[in-house]
Amino acid sequence: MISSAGVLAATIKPGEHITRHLFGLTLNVDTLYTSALAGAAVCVLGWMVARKATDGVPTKMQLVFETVTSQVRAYVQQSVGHDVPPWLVPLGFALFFFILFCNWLGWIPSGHSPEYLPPPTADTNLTFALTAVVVCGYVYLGVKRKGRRYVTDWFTAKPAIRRPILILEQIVNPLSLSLRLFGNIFAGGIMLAVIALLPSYLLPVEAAFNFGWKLFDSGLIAPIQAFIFSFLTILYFGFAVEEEH
Amino acid sequence: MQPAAAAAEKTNNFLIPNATFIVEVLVFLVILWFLSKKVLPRLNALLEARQETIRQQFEDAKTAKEEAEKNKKEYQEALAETRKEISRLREEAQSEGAQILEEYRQRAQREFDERMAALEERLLIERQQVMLTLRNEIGELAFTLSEKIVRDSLREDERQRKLVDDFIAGVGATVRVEAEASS
Repeated sequence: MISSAGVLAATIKPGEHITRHLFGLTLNVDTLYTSALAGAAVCVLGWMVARKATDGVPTKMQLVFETVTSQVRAYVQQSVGHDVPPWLVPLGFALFFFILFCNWLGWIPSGHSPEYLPPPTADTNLTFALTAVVVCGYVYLGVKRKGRRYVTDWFTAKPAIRRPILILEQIVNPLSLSLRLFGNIFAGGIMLAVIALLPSYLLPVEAAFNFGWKLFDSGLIAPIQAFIFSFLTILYFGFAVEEEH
Repeated sequence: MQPAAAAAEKTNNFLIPNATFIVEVLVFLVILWFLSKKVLPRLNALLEARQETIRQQFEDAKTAKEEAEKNKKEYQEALAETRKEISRLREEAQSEGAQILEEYRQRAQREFDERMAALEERLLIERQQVMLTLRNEIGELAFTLSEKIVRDSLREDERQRKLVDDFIAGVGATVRVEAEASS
């Protein structure tokens, strides 16, 4: 038992990245180029769809983009309400598609350890970065709307039991937002690594498992996580501008 | 420096972000900028255009429906009008028919009466003619008879009586034959 666990630990090496050191800083090169790749894919695809789009009968891709846009708009309208900043809908839209494309990179195996094309969302650097942008956004909007009350409201909320929860939320919300995405995608990669560790006489089963898991991971978990991230982002913006009653 | 880096490598915790974090923030900001400038304005414009189109179509459909309902009502009114007209015409035709029938009956009756009258007149004339003829013949016969009587004047009364009877019977037969011939 112990020896097999040791083998597992030795072979899987979770969270290992291809790194480069620059001016004393450590950069996860794989995360950088995979996220650049996913971002470029989103931008190019979005640009092509926008260029070819018509207000007549839309193509399927245009329909997908339009559906996401109108959904984001609806959620933003619902949670933030009046006077929505013009960058909020693009933020939700960009988060959804960027995270989705990042998550999908797990499909392409390289056979190398660590993988050449891991989903960059399986790196906390990216999820923390996304969350940082989101937090900056909603703090900015909250302060703009409420001024000093954005902070003082946490201490004057009624009933008093809500006060520690509100303060705790300021840490927990961003942390859970980034770690949820990271954990889900990271676990998907680990799952693939675990499947790859199956003994060789289970090869056909292994291939089926591998394919089945990838289907589940990319078809279900990837879009759900992308949706949750952008949906919660919009929700947090709603909390930030919410007035106490 | 080298051992410190090695130590950092050893205790590398993948939950702790490194410099990649800063680059990723920039990467995402670039993506956000591109999408919000190059992709979303077009999509938003399209969405609004589509909504406008849909609204327009709904309006058109509503107008068309109203139009259709109006037409249907008009058609039904026209239909009712026509039905009324038809029944009116039928009644008219029936009464006209009855009138024509009555006219024909009256005319037939009149014709019949006229013919009957003409017939009766002719009958009367013929009878008078027959009577005239008869009277002439009777005169002649009477003359013949008186001749015979004169010739046989001296014969038995019995015979004379018989003669007279025969004569009278002969007259009756002649009259009857005449009458039959005239009718």
